[in-house]
Amino acid sequence: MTIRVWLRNFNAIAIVSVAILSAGCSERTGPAPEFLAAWGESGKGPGEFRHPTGIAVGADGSVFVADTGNQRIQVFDREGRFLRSFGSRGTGPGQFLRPMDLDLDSQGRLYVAEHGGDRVQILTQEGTVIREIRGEGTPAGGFDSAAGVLVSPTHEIYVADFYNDRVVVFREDGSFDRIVGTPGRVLPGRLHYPTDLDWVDGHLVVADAYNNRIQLFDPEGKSVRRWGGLLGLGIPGSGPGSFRVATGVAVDSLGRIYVADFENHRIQVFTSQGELLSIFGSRGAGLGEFERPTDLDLGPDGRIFVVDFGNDRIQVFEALPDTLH
Amino acid sequence: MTWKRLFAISAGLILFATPASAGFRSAQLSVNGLSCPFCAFGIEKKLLDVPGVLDVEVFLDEGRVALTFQGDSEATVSDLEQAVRKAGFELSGLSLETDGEVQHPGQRDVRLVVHPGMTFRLGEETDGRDHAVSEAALQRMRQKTASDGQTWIVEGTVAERDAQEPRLLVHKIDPVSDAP
Repeated sequence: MTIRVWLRNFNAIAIVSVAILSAGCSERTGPAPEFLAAWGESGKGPGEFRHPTGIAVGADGSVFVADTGNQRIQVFDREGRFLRSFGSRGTGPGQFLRPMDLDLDSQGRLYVAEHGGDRVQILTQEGTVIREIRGEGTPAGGFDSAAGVLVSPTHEIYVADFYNDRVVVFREDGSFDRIVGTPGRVLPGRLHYPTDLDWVDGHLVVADAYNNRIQLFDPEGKSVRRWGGLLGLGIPGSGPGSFRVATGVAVDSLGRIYVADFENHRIQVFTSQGELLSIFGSRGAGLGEFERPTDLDLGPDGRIFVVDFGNDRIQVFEALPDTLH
Repeated sequence: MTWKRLFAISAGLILFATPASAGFRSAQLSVNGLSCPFCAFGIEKKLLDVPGVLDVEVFLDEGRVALTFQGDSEATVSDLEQAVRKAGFELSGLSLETDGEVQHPGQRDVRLVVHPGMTFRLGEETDGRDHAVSEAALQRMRQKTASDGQTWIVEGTVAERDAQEPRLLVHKIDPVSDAP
C-alpha cells in the first residue's frame, strides 16, 4: 500500500469516526443557568448533611433531601431554611436504612426508596408512615437495593431495583404489575445498576447509571431511545453528551431532561429526543461547582436543585430560559 | 483453642481460594473505586448480610470499610470477599483482628503483622507447638502449614515498625513441594 493510499484510507476512517462520534452529542449547547444559592455542610445537626443523595421539590417549593449518611429526611423551605427532619437508622416504620431517593405524588405524599432496607416507604410530609412496599410478588421476591422511586402521572409506582438491574412497576394500591428492563449492557433495554427515574411524554426515563446512558421506555416497556456517548452503547466519556455514571434524572415542565453526570461533576440538559441543550458545573467546592452530584429536581418555578453529594450541600440554579429547547 | 491471640493481616491482590477463619473481632477492607454512594452503601448492605457481622462503616473518601463482628462470629475471609464482589467491587486489601485461626491457601504476597507477646499458628499440621512471638524468635520464620490436604511453607522475617509492634513480613506461601 502506498503512503497516498494509506493516507486516503486513514482520512476516510477519520471522517467516519467523527461522524459517528458526532451522532452521540449535539454541536449546539445553550447558556448555563446562573448559580443562585447553596446550603448545607458536613455534619449531623439540622441543615447539615452526611452524604446526601436524593432530592424532591414539592409543589409549594418545599425541598426534601435524603440525608443518606445520617439515615434521615430533611425538609427545607424554598429558600433553604431548615424546617424539620425525621427518621433514624433502623428497619421499623419511619426508620431508614440508607434512604437514597425521594418522590412526591400529586397528593403530596412522600415516597422514600431505601437502598439498604429494600423497601419504599410512603409517608406524610411530616414523616408519618402511611404504608410500605417491599416488592412482594415480584420475580426474585423483592428488591435488592431500591435506589430510585417515581410516582408517574398515571399513579403507578416505579422503583429502580439497583442490584437486580431492572425497574419494578407497581399499581397505585402497591400490588406488583410488571418489570421494565433486563440486566445487561450495550443492547437496548438492558440496564446496569439503574439509579433514578422520571417521566416525559408518556415515557419512562431511566438513569441507567453504570451503562453511562439515559434510556426512554414506552408504556409497553420497550426501549425507544438511548443516549450517552457513542450511540448510547454505554461507553463512558467526558465529552458533551457523554456520561461517567449518570445517577440522577429530572424532567421539567417543557420536557427537558436534566442529568446528574456523577463522575464528570456536572449537569447536562437534553431535549426528550436526546439533543444536548446545556452543560453546567465543574469539579470543585466553590459556588456553582460540584463534587460528584447524585440527583436533582426542578422547583415549581423551574429552578434547579442539585444534590452536591461530595460537598455535603444543596445548590440551586436559576431556571433555564423557556426558549432553550 | 490454646494458641494465638491476635493476628492483624494485610493482604494485597489476594486470591482467596478456600480460606477458613473464625473469631474475627474487626476488619478493615480496602476497596478501589469506592466513590459512588450506590455501590458503597451496597457494600455495606452485602457485608451486613455476612453472618456475624455486627456493624459496617464505609469511609468513602478513603476507600475503606471498617467491620466489627459478634464475639462468636464464624465469618470467613471468603465471605467478606464474596460480599464485596456482590456489591460490584474487588477486595484490594484486608486487615483482620481475630481470636481465631486463619488459613490462606493459595495466597501470595501476604504480610502478617503479629503483635509482641502473642502466640500464633498457621494451618493444622504444624509442629504442634505454639509459637511465642518475639523479635528474636521471628528473625527468621519457617513454618509448615496445611489446609485442605495441602501442605504449605510460610517464610517471613520480622521488620520492626516500632518497639511496641514488631512486624512479621511473610515473603512466600508455597506448597511444600515447590519450596526450596
